[in-house]
Amino acid sequence: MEKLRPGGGGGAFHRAGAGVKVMEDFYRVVLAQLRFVGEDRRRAIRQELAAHVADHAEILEKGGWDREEAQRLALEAMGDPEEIGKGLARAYSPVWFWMYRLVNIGLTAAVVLVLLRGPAVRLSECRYSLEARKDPWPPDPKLIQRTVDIRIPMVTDELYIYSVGVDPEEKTAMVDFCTYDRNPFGRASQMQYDAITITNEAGESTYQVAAHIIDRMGVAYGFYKGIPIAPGDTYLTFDFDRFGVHRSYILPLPEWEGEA
Amino acid sequence: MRQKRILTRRQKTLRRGAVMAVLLALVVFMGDYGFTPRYAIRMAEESVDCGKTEVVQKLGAAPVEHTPWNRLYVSANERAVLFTSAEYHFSHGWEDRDGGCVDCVEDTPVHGAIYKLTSTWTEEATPDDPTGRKYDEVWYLYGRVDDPRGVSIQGAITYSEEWDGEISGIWAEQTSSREEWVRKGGYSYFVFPLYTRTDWKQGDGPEGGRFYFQLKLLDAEGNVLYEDQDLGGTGTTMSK
Repeated sequence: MEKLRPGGGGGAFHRAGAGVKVMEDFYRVVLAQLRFVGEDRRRAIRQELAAHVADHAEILEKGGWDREEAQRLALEAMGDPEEIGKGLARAYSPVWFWMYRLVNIGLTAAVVLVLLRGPAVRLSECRYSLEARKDPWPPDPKLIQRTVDIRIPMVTDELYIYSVGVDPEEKTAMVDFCTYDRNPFGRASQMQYDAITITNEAGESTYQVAAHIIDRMGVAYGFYKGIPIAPGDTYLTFDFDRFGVHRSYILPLPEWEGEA
Repeated sequence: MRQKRILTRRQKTLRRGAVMAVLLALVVFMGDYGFTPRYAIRMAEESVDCGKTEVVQKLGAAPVEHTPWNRLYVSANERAVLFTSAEYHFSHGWEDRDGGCVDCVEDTPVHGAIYKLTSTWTEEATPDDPTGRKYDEVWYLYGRVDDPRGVSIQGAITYSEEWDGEISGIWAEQTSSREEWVRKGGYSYFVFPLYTRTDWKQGDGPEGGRFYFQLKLLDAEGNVLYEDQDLGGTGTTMSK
């Protein structure tokens, strides 16, 4: 940068546009010292310096100096731009500079999380819930299966019995069911097996035989397996009793070799 | 023209930090973060599908050692009494731990159930106790009295030495009188610790046998209005 000297260094100002360039260089050198200052504050400091120079130049102009010379002298009176910059830099600690940047990163991450996480969790639960209504988890493929469609409305949930299977070798039957909240965004209950009693044709109650619940938030899958059946058996009785909801159904068994 | 006010970095950081806090609160809310124990009650309602309940009694923290931050609640509606063990986790907030429920729809003078709260931790193994596993347990008896003649509840834990054997004796018993019950919405609710045992180890109970839970509702003359010899129940175990 061209050094500004009282009285003698003003030649640069008298060349076309040179004054502007010198002033720009002055501000650039000042601002170059401010490592931990954001753009807004840099603009403000620059405006402040420019206003200061302009005020001083105006006074000089009123004192009889011509405009270019007044600006040169005002700028010169500011002192060494590097020293000014260093002096200003001491006022700006890097702590808040980095804090500000960290908060900005955190803020961006929070926005992304808000936009993606909550709805993603809810939507996946909703998806499982909706999926269960039409296309529940497939039953055990090793068993002979019969598809049924029995839906029992409970308090806020629905119990859906969708398959009855037979293991001819073991002479046992299996019942697959699931529960889902009627509101697709709601949670499925997991204690419905307490309310279920399955009875075979011999009248043996298989309450709570190997009941199992797999919870996926939006839907809870369960099954009863190992229900003893005898050759010739063609159905099971399914009873549900909970919170005043009483239902009884005949579940037809699939055709199996042990059938009479 | 009025110059735009430039905020200091401190002001901007604090302002944006506040916005971030609000957004994070929204994140945890949408991600099902339980800000209060009531959220755990809502979860328990969903898990038993009993519908919305109102809190009947707050039991405070579980009276067992080595438990996480928890609170116990009994809440109810027309059809059910719900026992919720709410537990706080930093990452998820308040969550329920296997809440218990009594179906109150059936027309009986009293509806009751057991809720067993277990806390377990490990101490140094000894020849007497090779696993070093210790337990604290509280067995709550809770439910609803529908018969206005009922003035006291007698709860008892009986036991058999063998799994399907005869009842060998009474392990513990406790009585709760009407003055201790909570009246709400035209019903009387009761909850009391039927039995508490602390610092016990495996094998301290009837080994190979089992417990049974009895409930009797008595009138002012001591007549039994209702009796259940094999009350059902649920429970939860908290590990240190």
